Amino acid sequence: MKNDTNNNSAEVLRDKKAREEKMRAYLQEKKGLLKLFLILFGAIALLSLITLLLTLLTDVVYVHNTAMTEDGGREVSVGGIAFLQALFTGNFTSASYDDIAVPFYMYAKDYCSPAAIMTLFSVILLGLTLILSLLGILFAVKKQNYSFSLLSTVFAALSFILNIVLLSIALSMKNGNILSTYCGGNPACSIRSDMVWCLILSLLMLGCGVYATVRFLQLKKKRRQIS
Amino acid sequence: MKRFWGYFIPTLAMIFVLLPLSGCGAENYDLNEATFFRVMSNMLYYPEQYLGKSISLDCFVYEIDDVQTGEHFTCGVRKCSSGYGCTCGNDTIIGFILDYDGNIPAAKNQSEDTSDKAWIHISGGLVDAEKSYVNVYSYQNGEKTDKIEQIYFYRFAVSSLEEIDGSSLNYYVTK
Repeated sequence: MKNDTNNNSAEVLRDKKAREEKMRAYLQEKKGLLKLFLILFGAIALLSLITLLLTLLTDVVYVHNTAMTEDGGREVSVGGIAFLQALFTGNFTSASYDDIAVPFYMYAKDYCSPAAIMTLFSVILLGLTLILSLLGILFAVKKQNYSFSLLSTVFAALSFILNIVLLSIALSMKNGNILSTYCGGNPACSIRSDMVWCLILSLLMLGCGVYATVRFLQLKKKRRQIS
Repeated sequence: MKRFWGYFIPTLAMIFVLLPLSGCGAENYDLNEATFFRVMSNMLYYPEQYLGKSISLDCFVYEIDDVQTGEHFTCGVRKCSSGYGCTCGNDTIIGFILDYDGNIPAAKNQSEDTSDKAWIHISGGLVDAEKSYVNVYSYQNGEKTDKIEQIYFYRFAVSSLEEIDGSSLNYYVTK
């Protein structure tokens, strides 16, 4: 009887010790996760800022002509800012907004409004991703609250999807009459887009967010197991 | 946090208001070396938006005869390419047929590859959005051919014209 009691208390002690050990490991991991969050969401903030600037300042769509030596072969182009200006003013025929009027609106009219709308959504989503990732870092450090960080992962995913749509619309302009009419069927002419770089960056952003989320969920599962 | 949103929302609102305003309100077009080709190309496709607007530009005098009707036109033009990239196709001209009551200087070296031409600064506006077609012999690799092609211009009502020194101007324009 006495032996049984001794065995039980030893088992309880062992359990307690094991739980304490697990808790210590958990807290260590939690600390590590916070560091990881700072790095990953810092990277997301930086990547979303770069992607945002690239969306605004580089060419959403351009006609590349290998026969041209100037401007890296970019014969005509429309940047993100020009698309937004055209969208806000409702004027796609102005000469003030890069080359949007000719040839893009002239020969690929149906694609210009969707491209402008997607550019706007993309800019808004990237801006929100940037803000949420910064808030995520702030809340994770100050209040151990990870909800903003996880929300920014959702926005990073949406940005990635929008970037795919924007790139598809931009490249679909080859189905308009730009190449056959404006380029006179010249095989040296092709439709290209700098949004490829934005897509790569937003994929990296999404990767960071997904990795952070997976690590967070793993830790949460461990916490549940301990308690 | 409240402070952050206090700054963020007005900044966002300002961007959304200023962005559209930054490109509109262009009532007058004063074409320069940087804008000449783009605005002139735009005008060929969308003349309506230039009607009633004041336009000023530097160009050289170019006299041209319709090879089929014999009609004579005095134009204010610059040279460019008919092809993509404005450097890859055959040379052509881009400009206006001038409607002017005063004296227009005679064309000088109009087809030569030199800046020594009869340069003028003109102000005025489009007469209408109707294209005037002129039949000319086409050129292939700088050589005149027997083939006839049509080039078109808009008529420009000149309100003021002055002769200028065009030595610093590009007689051949690209984008």
